[in-house]
Amino acid sequence: MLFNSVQFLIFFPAVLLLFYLLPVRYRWVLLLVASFYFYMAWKAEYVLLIIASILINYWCANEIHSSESSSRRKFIFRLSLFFNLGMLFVFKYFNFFNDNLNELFSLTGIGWNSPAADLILPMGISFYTFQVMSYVIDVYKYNLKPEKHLGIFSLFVTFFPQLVAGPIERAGNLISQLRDLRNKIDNEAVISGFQLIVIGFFKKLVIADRVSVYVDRIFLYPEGYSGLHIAIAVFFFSVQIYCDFSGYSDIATGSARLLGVRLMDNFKSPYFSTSISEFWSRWHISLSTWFRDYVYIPLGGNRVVKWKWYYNLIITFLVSGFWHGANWTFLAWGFIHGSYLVLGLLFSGFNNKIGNALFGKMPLAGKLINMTITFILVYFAWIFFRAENIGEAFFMIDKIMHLNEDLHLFEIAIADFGVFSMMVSWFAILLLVLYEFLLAKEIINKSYYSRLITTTILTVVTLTLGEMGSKSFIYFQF
Amino acid sequence: MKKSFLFIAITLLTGILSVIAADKLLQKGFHSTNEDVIGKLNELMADTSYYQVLCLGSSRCLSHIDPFLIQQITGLSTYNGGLNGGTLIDYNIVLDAYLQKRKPPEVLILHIDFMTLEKQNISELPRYFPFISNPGVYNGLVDYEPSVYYVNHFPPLRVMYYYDLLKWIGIKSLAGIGARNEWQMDRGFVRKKVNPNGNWNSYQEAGLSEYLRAINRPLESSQKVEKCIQLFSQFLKTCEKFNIQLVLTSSPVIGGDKSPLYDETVRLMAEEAEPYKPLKFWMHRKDMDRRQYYFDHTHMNYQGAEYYTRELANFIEAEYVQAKRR
Repeated sequence: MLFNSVQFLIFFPAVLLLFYLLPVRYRWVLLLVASFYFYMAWKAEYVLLIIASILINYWCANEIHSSESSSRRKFIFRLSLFFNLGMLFVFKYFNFFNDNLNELFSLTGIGWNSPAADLILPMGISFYTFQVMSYVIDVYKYNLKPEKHLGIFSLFVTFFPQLVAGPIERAGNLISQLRDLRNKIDNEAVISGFQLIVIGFFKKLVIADRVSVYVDRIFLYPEGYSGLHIAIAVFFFSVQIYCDFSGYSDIATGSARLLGVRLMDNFKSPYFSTSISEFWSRWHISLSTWFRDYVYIPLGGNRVVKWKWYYNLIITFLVSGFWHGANWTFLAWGFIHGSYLVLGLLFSGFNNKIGNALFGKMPLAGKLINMTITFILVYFAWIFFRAENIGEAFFMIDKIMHLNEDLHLFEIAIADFGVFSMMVSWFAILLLVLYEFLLAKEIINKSYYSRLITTTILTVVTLTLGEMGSKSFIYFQF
Repeated sequence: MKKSFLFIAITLLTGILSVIAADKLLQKGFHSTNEDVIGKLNELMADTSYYQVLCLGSSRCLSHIDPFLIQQITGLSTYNGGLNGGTLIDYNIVLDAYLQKRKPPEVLILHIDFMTLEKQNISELPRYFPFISNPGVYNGLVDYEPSVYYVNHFPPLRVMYYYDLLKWIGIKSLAGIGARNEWQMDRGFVRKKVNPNGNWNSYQEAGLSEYLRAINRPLESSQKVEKCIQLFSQFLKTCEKFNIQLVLTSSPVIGGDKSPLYDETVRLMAEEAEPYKPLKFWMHRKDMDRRQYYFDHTHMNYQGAEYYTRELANFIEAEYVQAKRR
């Protein structure tokens, strides 16, 4: 079920109402049933995968905990990893490896061609698999005691607000809240939850779905457009992916909050970042902290010799890129971000000197310049993330570098996209920037009335300018 | 808790009131526009002018059949009811709406193409929402999309389904701004520009091979085809009930003369229509020079439309008008 569908607008208030009518001890049952229903509204048969994941990981975690022999603990831990990564491999990566292997065989003249698997990528598989993997790893490392209650554990895996696109929660935060679903709700939780839902819908329906029309058209056939078109399309994609994904996270976090559950913040205005490392502490926080804790630190993190540190960063970002999808473009995107960080570390002394010399007395100007440079770096990496293949990404970069050519084509695309769409898109983007700025300055949440006014404005804009086309969220494909 | 409920109530109430106001304004704009998309349905639902020939079909019908040229050659007043993205679902709705306020046309030209038996969804559903109170429209759509049901019960909800072009048409109409030339309808007909420098540009040329692959394949899903055939049979029943002379036609598209998809579509439709007697076929499938006659892969420009309409009109003149005189 999509958040941006009429079904959800009926489903969620109904769940909320029943939740508060039911005695506390039955609430988890309601949430579990609702979560399965939510997922099955997409493809009922794929719920079997989640059930398998629940049962196997539940058993593995408890076995790891109760087992005294370290070799048996290790064996069961590996079994759990094998199952989780195997499931991801089969559904997400098999065809990628298969295609590349076939390509390799054809290049070397070996006449062998294995057929592709005809499988649909189950919605949210990367999210719930990573969530459950972190749980088993934490149990294995004695950081967490396993959950004995199968129902609560199942709810931890399937909790509907964050099931299909995160935030990827840690068991330590979520399970304890699900165990005790007492009425902890207060004015603050209701208002902030509702505010989050409204801003989430605004980002998705007013901005992301609108600019996606332009983005899709240009990325489908960049050869037909000028550099200026492509530059705008990449800018719109940067906006789209942020609004689409953070919009989803906002709706998820807001919905959970109305149910008395506090999920982690997944985005903190990432485009206001003044460096790439800051960007990664503000963008898809639940995933970046996952990779930090379960990939980067186990590799040695920064407590190693310098070259190994840089290597660890690159590897972590390559894996993060590959998590997003089985395509060379995602690997390239991960590599680019890893390289940004390494280059940032290599030149940090030089950067600081230049920064102090130029903007030592104008910190605000320095901040704005850094923000702009960070955005431009992220912007170029998005080209690889969205392009069909690496060649196309380079083609688009080349076109952007020659902005003033083929400008006669510009008129056609603007006419196709529509003047109205263009105007509304820019208006909504500016409104969002203003909102996030005021939020960061703690002006919006200062008083009840400032919250009421901003939320009402966003509601009016969303209801009158949003498009209820029920377009899927970008991160559902991951 | 009172404070938080008040917060939600005020926000939602303001939102709902703004949607109601926006809906009222857009409805006003929609009902006075002559711009394609909505203008066509406006005319079909509200206007009561009678036409002897009614043309139905998709965007190819919309831009390939010039009603004035047909009238000039045959003497029969003609209206082009083609709709962008139109499918058999649309044709049934439009025919029903047309017949609600007028006597039946003498001749109905149904333009078929390579999509006719493959599309059983509604391409541009929101364009019908301004007319959702019309029982023919509601009944014709409700089985396909749940949103039709919701909108019928709370019409202002439709504001959230209108895409930008529709909203823009409504706003422009309210402000008294007319349609851009290329979207200006004339008896339902939209002329695609003949542009010597080429609307046919590098973009069209590059996508050509992909398009040719698409139409050089057999029909895809038998389920879809079955559903479309059912809709076609419903369409034939309406024609039979009002004793309308039906002409099944198709206009040339690039590569259409060699398309198995086209062959199969025409064969299946002919088979279904066979028992219906007042029926004539006129298929024009030959390949024509794309730079001279085409606007894009699947639509001719006005020069192509003129060429095709002239031949179609001559056929109607010979087979219907002169036969009637005899």
